[in-house]
Amino acid sequence: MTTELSQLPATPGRLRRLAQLGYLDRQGLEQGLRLTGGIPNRQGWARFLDYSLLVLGALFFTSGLFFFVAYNWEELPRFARFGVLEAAIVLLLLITHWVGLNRLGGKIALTVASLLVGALLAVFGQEYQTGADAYTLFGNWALLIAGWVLISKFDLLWGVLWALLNLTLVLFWNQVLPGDQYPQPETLFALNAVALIVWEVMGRRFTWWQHRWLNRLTALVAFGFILWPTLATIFYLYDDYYELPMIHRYGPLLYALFLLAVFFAYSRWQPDLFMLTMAMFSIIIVLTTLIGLSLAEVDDVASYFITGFSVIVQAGLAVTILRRLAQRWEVNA
Amino acid sequence: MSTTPMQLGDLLAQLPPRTNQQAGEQPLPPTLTNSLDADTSPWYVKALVGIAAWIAALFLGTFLGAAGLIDSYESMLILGAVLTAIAIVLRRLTPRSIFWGQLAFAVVLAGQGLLVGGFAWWNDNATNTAFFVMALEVVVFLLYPDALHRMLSVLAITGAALFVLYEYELQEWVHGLTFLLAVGAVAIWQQELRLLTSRWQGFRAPLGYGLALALFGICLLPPANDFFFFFWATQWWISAAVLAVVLLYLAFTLLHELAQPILSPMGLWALGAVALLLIPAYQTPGILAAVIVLLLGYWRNNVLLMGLATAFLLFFLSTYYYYLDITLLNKSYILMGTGGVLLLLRFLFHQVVGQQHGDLEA
Repeated sequence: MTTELSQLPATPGRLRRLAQLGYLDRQGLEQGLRLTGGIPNRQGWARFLDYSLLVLGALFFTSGLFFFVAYNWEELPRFARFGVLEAAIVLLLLITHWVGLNRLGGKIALTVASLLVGALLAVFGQEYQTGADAYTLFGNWALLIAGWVLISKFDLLWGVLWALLNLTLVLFWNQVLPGDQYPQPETLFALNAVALIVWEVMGRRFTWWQHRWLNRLTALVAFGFILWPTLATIFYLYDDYYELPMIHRYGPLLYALFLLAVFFAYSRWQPDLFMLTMAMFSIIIVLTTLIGLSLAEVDDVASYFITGFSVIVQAGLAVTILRRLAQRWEVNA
Repeated sequence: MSTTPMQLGDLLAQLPPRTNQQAGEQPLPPTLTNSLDADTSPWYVKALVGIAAWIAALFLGTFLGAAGLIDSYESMLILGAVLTAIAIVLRRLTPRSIFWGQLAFAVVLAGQGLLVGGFAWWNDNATNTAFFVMALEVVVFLLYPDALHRMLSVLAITGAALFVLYEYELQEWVHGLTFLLAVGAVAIWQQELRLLTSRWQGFRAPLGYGLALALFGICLLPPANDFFFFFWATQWWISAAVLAVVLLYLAFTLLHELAQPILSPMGLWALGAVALLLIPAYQTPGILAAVIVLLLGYWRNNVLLMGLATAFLLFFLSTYYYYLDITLLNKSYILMGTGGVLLLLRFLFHQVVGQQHGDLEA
């Protein structure tokens, strides 16, 4: 269904665009922005100041506590070191309970408590010199806060869990089974692909999952991990090994399937131009590598020119498709 | 903030006729997202264009070198000038073509690379080359009508200016540059609406984002000093002080816009927060720069600016760890103290201002 522009919601972005096109003068733009919330009013600023004081305060305080732990103050007795962190965690949980998880204050308190669990584990490692690999610290940290994350109703805390799981897996491969003979990128890709599906489902199901930053960041990381075996295959990097996991052979196939899924999901199911831009950029990387390598075997000098020119053509095509899609979404909104 | 769902037609009808040309005879366009118009592209599409142009320019530059077309500084200067001129003409002749725009972008980057390389080869003086970069970027900024490239020009000019300060051993003058960039960024975003509706609208985004990013770039120097790049400037408290002045000016401007006296509860709370932030920002001016950009972003409802500010704030806070002049224990006291007082301010703010504005939190 095509929608007239005048029937679309009046957003600050649309008003700015109308002003750029000469449909509104400065006074009209300013008045329109005030009516649509594009210029914050007194209450908006009060809320912003309130949030900023809360978030900055929590951020500074948590950083300070981490620095305190990192200082490894020998004059402080062992029980005091544990006690400071444990007391802080308990206090934060009480604040969470008191404020509630429907308010930002409660969510921030629970997030800080979750971060302090990591500090507590680090102190444990310092005190008892456990000698355990770092991945176990991050893995245990993720495990311990998983319950809080589940009830948190806060995408930032889900992001913390996601980061911890990624760190655990990366460190596991680096510290326990390093080398190309193990399916490092594929497992990391799988973790992020599954996480992306979970985020999308949660975004549809829960109203508190309002932002798309975590979905986009996860997709970016997933693309990065699946491009690794794809490019390694193109560069014949895996040919140096006698025994490689079968999954490496399917890297390019996994990439192609992920690409298809991303195009389908974010052009039809959940329109998102950022995701499609990432997908397009990954295609440019893969095609440019293929073109450059193939031509370099024939003629070095010409390959530079043709490859450079091909990047221009690919980017031009990508941008054309993306802009047309955006235009179609706006008209069919 | 009010988020009344209102249709564009209804809103335009509410505006007085003198401010609303649409109410006259000019009909609205069918869509605002013109598939051929670069201005409507989101930042990530522009980023794709920019990165692709850089890659293409590198390949084209390598081709010119490998083909033996640039074997002397004369050939570099001539070819660079020709390519830059061709790109400017191409961009001006085909302002709406995506393909030619992409080609022009790659060519103008390759052309400038050759010009700078050729000049450096001929003159053999790094300071003169930096001056040449500044002059070249000013010319290209004015003549090449592309928002992304103009933003890169702002960054290149700042980088070249820093290099000149370094070469002349005027490192402490960097604080003056910090001040100029902060003032520039505030001025551009303060005048955003005026710029948007003027013939200078093409300079709004590149200057606004470019100056903010350049400011962040300069604020990266104090932590970089401790690691891999020794810039010699040591008195970073001066940068923190000038940024505090700019932050105070911004706070006063915002309070004035809201018709709030400085001695009102909101004014006092805002000033208290600024004063508190000065403690950790001593020697880490980036914290104040990030807060300035965060305020500008919220003022102009600009999510990209707010996102950039948040990312840099987190970064600058983490670099505080490496600041060597005070012990980790003292740093932890400063951060915990600042955080604790900010939270206390928030609690009091909630009690006092919250009662005036109803429930502050959703």
